[in-house]
Amino acid sequence: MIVTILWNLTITAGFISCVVIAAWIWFHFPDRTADDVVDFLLPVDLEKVETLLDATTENHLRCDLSRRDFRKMQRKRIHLYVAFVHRMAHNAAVLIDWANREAEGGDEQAAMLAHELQQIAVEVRLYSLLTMMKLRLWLLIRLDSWQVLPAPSLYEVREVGGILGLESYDRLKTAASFLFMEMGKRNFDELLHNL
Amino acid sequence: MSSLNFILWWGELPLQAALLYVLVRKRSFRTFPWFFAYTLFAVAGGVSRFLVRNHHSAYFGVYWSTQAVSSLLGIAVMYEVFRSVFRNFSRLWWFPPIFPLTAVLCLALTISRNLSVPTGLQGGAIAWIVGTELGLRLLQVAMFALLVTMVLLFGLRWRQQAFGICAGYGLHATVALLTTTKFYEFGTKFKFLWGLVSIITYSIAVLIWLWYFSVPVKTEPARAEQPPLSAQEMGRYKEMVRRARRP
Repeated sequence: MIVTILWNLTITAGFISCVVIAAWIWFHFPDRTADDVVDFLLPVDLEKVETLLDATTENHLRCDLSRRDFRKMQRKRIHLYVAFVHRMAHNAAVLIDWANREAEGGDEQAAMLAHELQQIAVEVRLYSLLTMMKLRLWLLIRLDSWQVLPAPSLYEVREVGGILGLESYDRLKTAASFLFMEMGKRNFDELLHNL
Repeated sequence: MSSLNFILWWGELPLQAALLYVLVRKRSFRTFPWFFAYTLFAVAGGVSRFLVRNHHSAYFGVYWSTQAVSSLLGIAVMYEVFRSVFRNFSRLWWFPPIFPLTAVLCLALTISRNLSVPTGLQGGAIAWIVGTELGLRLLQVAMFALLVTMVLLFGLRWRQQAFGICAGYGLHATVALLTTTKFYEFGTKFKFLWGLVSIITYSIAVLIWLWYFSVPVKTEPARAEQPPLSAQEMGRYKEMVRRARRP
């Protein structure tokens, strides 16, 4: 019975994949150039992110607030980090799209930088998706309300799946800026502000 | 055999030969040696089958032996595709075991299914070949689904040749799996139809491969083992960006 279900599920997955990829190719953003990057990015305040992931800040909050207030605060902080990670995931997707396009271009130097950007952006996207899954699970099971367990710590999601989120995002910003410069664009401030 | 059937049954052979020509011309044997070996073998096997098509016992032997080798080559091709597409993830410790794990799961699922649903084959080598082929089809569908998920989640390039190889296999394997499953359920009632559908989708798969390998694709530069943008490089880049930002 289980074997038949798994077998049929695999066949269904194959058919769904055919339809999904056809739809993706059809609706996909066409040829994202350097001009189509800045306006599509969502700003991420890395200082706030750093504070959210900082173990010392978290310990201070734990000491200063009552147990109940700390758990309530922690839930809010988790929500805020989910919002930031969501933006990071979105920005990484936009940059992957752009890097894919530049990697196929004629300029050797730009193609090399695009490959680097692509690699880092995939890393950031992977981190973001895994972190979102983890945090949403925490929110779903209301891990912060379980009095018998210690309150969830955001410091734990500094590294997920072997990827250091903040450091990778910082490298992503650098790689994106460098490719932006290579493409002859001078509005770095806008790029760095929106990234 | 009517001329239409003849074209349908043997039409894939010239297509496959055209693909082999394109692979040689574009020197794709350097980037995808196993896929090249698979195509070369498919052409050689197809020609052999064509030559002995009127000799029943010889055709039987040639068909099953080429099918066995082609299944094994197919597994090697899938591994080649996996390594090529997911090289960005190779530094993550938990990613490399995904392929062997998927292969083992598919194998286990195929064995379980073959035990629960009798194939009508009297054991022996042919049963093994059919089992391996089914396992390979399952692996191809699973890999295709995994790849499509990765394209959606991580925006992997769908225009890269490895994706084309996987998409061709994925389409054919999905239909082949369905027809094989229905063949078990309905018996020989729709034998001709199932065979025809399978051949048509394989021809479409070869056309997909032909398109992917005909379109010029920029080859990726060789990557160093070290992580992208070392601390030293990053510092240099940051300095350049900072300098460029000054009015």
